Amino acid sequence: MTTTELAQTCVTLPQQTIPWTLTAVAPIHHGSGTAGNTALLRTQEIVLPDGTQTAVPFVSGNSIRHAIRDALAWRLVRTLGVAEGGLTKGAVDLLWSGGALTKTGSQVELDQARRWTELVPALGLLGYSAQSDIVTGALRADNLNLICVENRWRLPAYLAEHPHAGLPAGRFRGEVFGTRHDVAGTGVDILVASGMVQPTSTQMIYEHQVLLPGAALWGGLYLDAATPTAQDALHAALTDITAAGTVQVGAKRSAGFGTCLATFPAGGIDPAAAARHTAHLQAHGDAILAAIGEATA
Amino acid sequence: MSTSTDTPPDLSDADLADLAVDVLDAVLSSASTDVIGVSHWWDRATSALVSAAAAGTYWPRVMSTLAAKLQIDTYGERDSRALLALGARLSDPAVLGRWSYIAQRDAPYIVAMCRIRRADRTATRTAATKKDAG
Repeated sequence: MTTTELAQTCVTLPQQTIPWTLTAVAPIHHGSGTAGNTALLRTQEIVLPDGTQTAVPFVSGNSIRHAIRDALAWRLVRTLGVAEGGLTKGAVDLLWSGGALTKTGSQVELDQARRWTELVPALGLLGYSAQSDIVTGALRADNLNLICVENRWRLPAYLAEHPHAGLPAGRFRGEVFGTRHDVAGTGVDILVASGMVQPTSTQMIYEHQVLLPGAALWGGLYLDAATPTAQDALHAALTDITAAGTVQVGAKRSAGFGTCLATFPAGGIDPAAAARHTAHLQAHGDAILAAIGEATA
Repeated sequence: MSTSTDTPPDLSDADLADLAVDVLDAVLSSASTDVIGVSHWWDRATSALVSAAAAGTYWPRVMSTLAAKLQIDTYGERDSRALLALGARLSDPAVLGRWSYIAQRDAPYIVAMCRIRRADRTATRTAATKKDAG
């Protein structure tokens, strides 16, 4: 593609904004260290319009990007029928974590980068590091911010009248506890080697700060000059991560946390994009795997 | 808005941190080392302060969260009166919101100051007891 042709193509690439709102139907824990036996909720310090400071919980845009990257990686390997042991560690890192720099140098091989990002849409969508290049993706993902009075000054207009917009963030925070169960003193003791003194119990209670079910968060996904394949990739990923009718964010998802209802006030997901994305993967399977191999060689 | 005021606040950030030390001191006086143990006493105090402050939209909830986190079934009478008085100073939602923010943000400092205060008080009492005995 010549520079002129590329410029013409770029002119046709639209900017796309996908606002979304998530309402927790299970507690959300997005962690940031501990205090004692309590895992703390991640918070963002903000300055209010009157100059005072406060801190509000949020879910990072980085974790949303990871959810999208994870969905696209699984869709790729499933569509291409990648067998157990079929990927190098570098390939797995590229697909699930965005790769790593493995060579020195400062020259970006544009043609090669364009070919990889077009063949592997997730790379064009989310960006990646490979060989000596760091390539920016087309997607920008907002943090998911809590709808609360402290955030009222930055709420989008469509949420200005949300019933939570006048309530303090603390109203949506709580704690839940879990127990690591120690089977000592139960019938399982019969399996423990004889002659051994039972050590101190390992039973313990742990606690997590959470956003309570019912809390609502908002954010946005933005595409800058995304190619059609990258646009389809985003919509395919959103299709996958909302396939159950809910979306999961934050940590402890395997233990009942993080489930949210997602709404897309501006229309949301293109229902045909996932099929187009899959068709692209099927049509270029060998070339895709070869490109991944090149990028991680 | 719960964490801002239109007029300059009467209580400075340092005042609010001192109030948090007072609160924690009173709460710990109702807690028991037999229940939560000596080795995790200050970890648990930090955790309780941070958790209670995070829930800090309503003083009764702050006090109740502190009690739950430190396994206090009932506050002693003297500590209850102290906490009631402290809560009165934090009755304005905007002030309570600022207190909550500072108590979370500066929890390690607040716990350290409380620890020093309680250690000094114990030392003073011990010295007085020895003096009386002598």
